[in-house]
Amino acid sequence: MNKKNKYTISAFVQNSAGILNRITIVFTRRKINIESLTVSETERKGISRFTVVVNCTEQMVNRLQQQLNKVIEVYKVFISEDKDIIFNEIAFFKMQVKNKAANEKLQKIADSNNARVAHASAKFMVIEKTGSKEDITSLFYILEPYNILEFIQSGRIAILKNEEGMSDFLPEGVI
Amino acid sequence: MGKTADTKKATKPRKKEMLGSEAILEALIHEGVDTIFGYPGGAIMPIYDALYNYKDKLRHILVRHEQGATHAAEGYAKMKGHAGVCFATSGPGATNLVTGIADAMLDSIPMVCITGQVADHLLGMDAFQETDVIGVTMPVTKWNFQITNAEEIPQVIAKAFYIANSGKPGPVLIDVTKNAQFQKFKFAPQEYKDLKSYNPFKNGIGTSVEEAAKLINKAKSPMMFVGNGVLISKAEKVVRKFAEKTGIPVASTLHGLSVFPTSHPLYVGMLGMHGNYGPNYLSDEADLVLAVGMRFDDRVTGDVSKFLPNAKIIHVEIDAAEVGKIMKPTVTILSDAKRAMTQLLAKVKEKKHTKWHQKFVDCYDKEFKQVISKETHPKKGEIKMAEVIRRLSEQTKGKAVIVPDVGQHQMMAARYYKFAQTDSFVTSGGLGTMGFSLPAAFGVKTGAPNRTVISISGDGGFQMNIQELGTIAQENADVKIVILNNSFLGMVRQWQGMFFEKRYSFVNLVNPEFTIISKGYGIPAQKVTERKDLDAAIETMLKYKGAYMLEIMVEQEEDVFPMIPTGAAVRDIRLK
Repeated sequence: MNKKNKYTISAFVQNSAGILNRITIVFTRRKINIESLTVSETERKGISRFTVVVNCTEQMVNRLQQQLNKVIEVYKVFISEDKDIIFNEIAFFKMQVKNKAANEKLQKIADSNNARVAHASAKFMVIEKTGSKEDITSLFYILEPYNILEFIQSGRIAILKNEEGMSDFLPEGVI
Repeated sequence: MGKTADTKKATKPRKKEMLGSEAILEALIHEGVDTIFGYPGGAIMPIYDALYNYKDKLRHILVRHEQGATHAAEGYAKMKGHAGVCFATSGPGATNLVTGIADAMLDSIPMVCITGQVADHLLGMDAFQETDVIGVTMPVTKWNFQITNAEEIPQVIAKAFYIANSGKPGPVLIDVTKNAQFQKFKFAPQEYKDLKSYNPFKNGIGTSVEEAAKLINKAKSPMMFVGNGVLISKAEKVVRKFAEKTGIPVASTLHGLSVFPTSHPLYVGMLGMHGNYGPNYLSDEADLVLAVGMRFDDRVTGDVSKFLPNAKIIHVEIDAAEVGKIMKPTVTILSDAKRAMTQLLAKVKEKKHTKWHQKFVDCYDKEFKQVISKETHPKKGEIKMAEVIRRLSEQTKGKAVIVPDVGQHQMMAARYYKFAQTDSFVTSGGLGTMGFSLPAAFGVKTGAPNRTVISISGDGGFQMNIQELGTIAQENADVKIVILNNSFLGMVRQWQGMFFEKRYSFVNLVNPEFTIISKGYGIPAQKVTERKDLDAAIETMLKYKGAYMLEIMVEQEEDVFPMIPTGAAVRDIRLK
């Protein structure tokens, strides 16, 4: 019961000023650290989707779901474990390029790790990697010896592994 | 189909050009508001200027501190059953509202606060009296919103009242920038009953009523817990009928007091830390608990892991977030108490639980002998808080509205006032806000002018909103004010005595002469130090037409019992 797990919370909300704060204070008050957070507009204008990853007990995540549902602007909240969702993150690695050999080496690393070169210039290169947090971390370790100038990783985006669409749980005309 | 749409159009109100400040008042009037508790200041001056022309439609009560406005609005809302309204200016005016807003949030009291704000071009500029009141109040409001354009007023005010009053009621704050108050626009009031992301009425009851009825009909030692939700949904009559049909003993939470007349044969007392012995102790033996409009607060459950070890739980609750938050119910009826209990009443069998009920009677006898008789009928020594409450109860025949503050006297009032009428106990239960009583009692009197309203405070809490004597005096409000003075912060002192080796750390008070202060405000007052004078003094107070203060010197180191020590199981309730 007290075992902590990784949960992905997907919340569909009315896009309005202050909504980020309304969502995060639900976590802050219970001292739950947000591991990652992604917000974007859905296929329906005016409705945004929060994807929040937390590490907590099942009891706590259920409580978070109930409390998020109480926020006036929230339409629907799903709680998922990793097995129930397709999820990914994206990362950029800005690499120093000292010479042609280094350039080729980095190209090769990118290719063999299912990453792509998003930008290349004489002095640096940006490698883009989409994948799980583990995939990105392992590429990080591979690239580390070649001088990473900058590294950034997005929060998780996730979609539910079922045949339901937004119109099933949020019928049209909701706004 | 087209026809109905057309007829709707015809009734649309005509738009009239006016200032944002006027539109706020028009929108309030449209919501049925006739009373406002407030305090003016720079950023809300346009609204106050508009108010000058609305004196015949809106009664504005000038409080002495914005916190007073919130508690008065709470007391008012409790009596009226719809949102109380507060006005305050930006900055300190707004932050002074926060305690009262948090109080209303925890006790599910509908309230709409309207705050002035600096003009929108000054937002975030550290302007004079600018504070981020939306950010500050977000965690303690049911909803809040900042209006920066007057065009938003009709919809936002309508939405504010809809949210505050519906479902589990709560406080809403609307912040209005000065430019929006000065802005001219065409106004027409709006209705708001269609908020898709928030629909407290969407829940179907489904088969839960049948399942609940089955459990109730089978139960051998059932109990019913009644809470605030019964009063909010005005379900007290149907709840009483239900109890009488099923023969189930009824215990009340602090906020459920006066749902049942104290003298009702099925009423077995109050739950919780300083509740009655029987309902606490015997809840261990209950095989079924029907919890109606209550939320298993930690002051009720004690150690949750040891609470209701043998009982299945039926939870009647309007707020889905409360379901399973503390106790896992076997059956949940997601509904307001009135709808649920009306349906349930039709499905339960007539029954009597005579033997089970007798156990509560026996427990009460034990409590009466060991605690109650000594507290309420002492023969010698100093005056006891409990006997004051007992005498107040007798002289008012249980028909007054009791508005205690927070602390020992609050528990004494809860324990010993014998309620004969519903809606007779207004207190800060969730937040436990000292200083609540005086302004709240004023609000109660404003909302229920025909009832006797008694504010009861300790000497500590009374000084937290003592300035509201000014409001009471200015408004000629007939509020009876009782101070039970033991020159201590009594509840803290009791805990220090019991759990901190009697290390009385900063709990003794050197007090002013309260009667002189009261008289300074023009409110007659009397101080009672001896038992023989008590009844006559209470009689004088009750007979007096107008506000009256009674300061009663009580035993200094009296403790409240029974008591469930924090973290203990309810079965370990102590009688001494």
